[in-house]
Amino acid sequence: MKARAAAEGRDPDHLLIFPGINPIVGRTDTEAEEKYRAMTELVTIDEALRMMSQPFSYHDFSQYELDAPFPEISDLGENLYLSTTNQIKQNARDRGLTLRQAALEFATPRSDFIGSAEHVANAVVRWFEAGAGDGFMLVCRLDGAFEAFLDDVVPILQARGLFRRNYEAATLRGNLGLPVPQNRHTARRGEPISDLVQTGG
Amino acid sequence: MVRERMIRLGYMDDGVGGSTWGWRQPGVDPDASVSIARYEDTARRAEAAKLDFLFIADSLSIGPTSSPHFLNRLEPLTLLSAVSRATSNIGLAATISTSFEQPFTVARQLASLDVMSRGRAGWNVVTSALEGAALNHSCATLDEHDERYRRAEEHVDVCRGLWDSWEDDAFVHDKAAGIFFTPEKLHPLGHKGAFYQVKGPLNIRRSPQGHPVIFQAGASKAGRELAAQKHPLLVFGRCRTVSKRRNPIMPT
Repeated sequence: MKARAAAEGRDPDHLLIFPGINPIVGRTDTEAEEKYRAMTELVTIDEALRMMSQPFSYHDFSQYELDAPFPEISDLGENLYLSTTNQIKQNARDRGLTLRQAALEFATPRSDFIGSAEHVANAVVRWFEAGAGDGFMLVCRLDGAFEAFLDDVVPILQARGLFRRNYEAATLRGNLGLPVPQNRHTARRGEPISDLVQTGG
Repeated sequence: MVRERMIRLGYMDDGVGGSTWGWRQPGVDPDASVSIARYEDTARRAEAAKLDFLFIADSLSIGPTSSPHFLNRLEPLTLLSAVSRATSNIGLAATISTSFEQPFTVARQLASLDVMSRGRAGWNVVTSALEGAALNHSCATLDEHDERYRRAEEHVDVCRGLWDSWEDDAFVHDKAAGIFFTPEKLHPLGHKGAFYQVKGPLNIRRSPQGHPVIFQAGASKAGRELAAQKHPLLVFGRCRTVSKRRNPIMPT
C-alpha cells in the first residue's frame, strides 16, 4: 500500500495502516487462555453460522452439512463484503475446513494477542517491528479486555519508548503526524502557507 | 523535524460488542450500544491512556438475525458530537456511507464535528455492502461494487472541494467597517460530475484540520486502489498470526 501511495506521488508517511487486533490480557498467560476459552464457549454453532452469514448478505448456511467441506457459494460473495467473504472462502479452501470449523473460527478467531500484559505487549511490538502497520486498531470482543489493555499493556509500551506519554497536539492530524492540506484557492493565489498548515505537519 | 517512530493506537467501540454473544457476558450492559454515558466514559479512559482515536463503525440495515449491536445503536455522528464535549484530545472517527448520503450533507456534518471538537474529526468512507441498505434509501438495489467505488471517489472529491469553500482567513469580522468576510476568499464549487452536481459553497468555515482525516476500511482491490491513489490516510486490516502468514496484513 505504501509503495503504491509513493508511486502516486504521495508521501508514504501520510498513509497510515492500522491492522485490527483483539487483545485478551490476563494476569498470567494461563488466565488469558482461560478467558479466551470462556469466550469460545459463549458462541453456539448457530450463532457462529449467523455471524458468518452477515458478510454473505445473510446467506442461510443452515441448509448445508456442518461437517462437510465448506460449501461452494461463489456467486454470493462477489458484490457484498468482497474482501471478507473472499478471505473466509480462501481460508476454508486452503486449510480444508468444514463449515463448522470455518464458522467457529470466524466467530472467535485466535490471535497472537492473548496472554499476560507482557506477552501482549511483546506481540504488539513484534508485529509493529515486522512492519505490520503504523499502529493498531483495538477491536476488543471480551468484556474488560479494552480496559485491561489500557491499564496494563499501554504502560509497558510507554516504558519501552514506543507509545506516547502525552499528546503531541490537540488535533487528530497533529497527533498522527499528518499535515493540514492547504486550501486549494489559497494555494492557487500563491499565498504563503498559513501557520495552520505548518503546525499540522 | 524527524519524529521518532512510535506505535499508534485507535480503538473501535461497538457497545455491546460486534459479536452475537458479547451482550451475554455478566458485566455487559445490554443497552451499552445506546448508552452515551458509557461511550463517554470509555473515551475518557482511552484519552487518559493517550490513544490516537475512537472509531465508530456503522451499518444501514438490519434484520432479525443481525447481531445485538446492529439492532439497537446510536448514529455515529450524533454519538461523536457528545463524545467531543466529554474529551479534548482523542480523535473521533465516524463511518458514513457514500452510497446514500449527499456529499453536501456529509461535508457539512464532518466540518461541524471538526469545528466542535477543535480538529479531531475523522471519516471512515464506506460504500455500504448490504442489499437492505438500498431498500432503506429508496433504491431498489445496491450498485455493483466497482460502481459504488466510482461514486465514492467522486463523493469524497466533492466533499474535499466543499471543505475548501472558505479560505482559512476569510472571516475578518471587522465590526467597525461592517465586513463579516472577505468576498474573494469565498469560493463556490460548481461541481458537475457523473453522480453529483454541487454548486457550493459550504455553509461553515474551513475546519481546524482543513479536511477531516479520511479512513478507509474496505480492503478489496478497488478500495485499496482508491486508498493508495489519493484519499484515505488510514487503512485498516486484520492481524492474524505472523508466522503463518506471508503478508502480515490480512484484509477484513
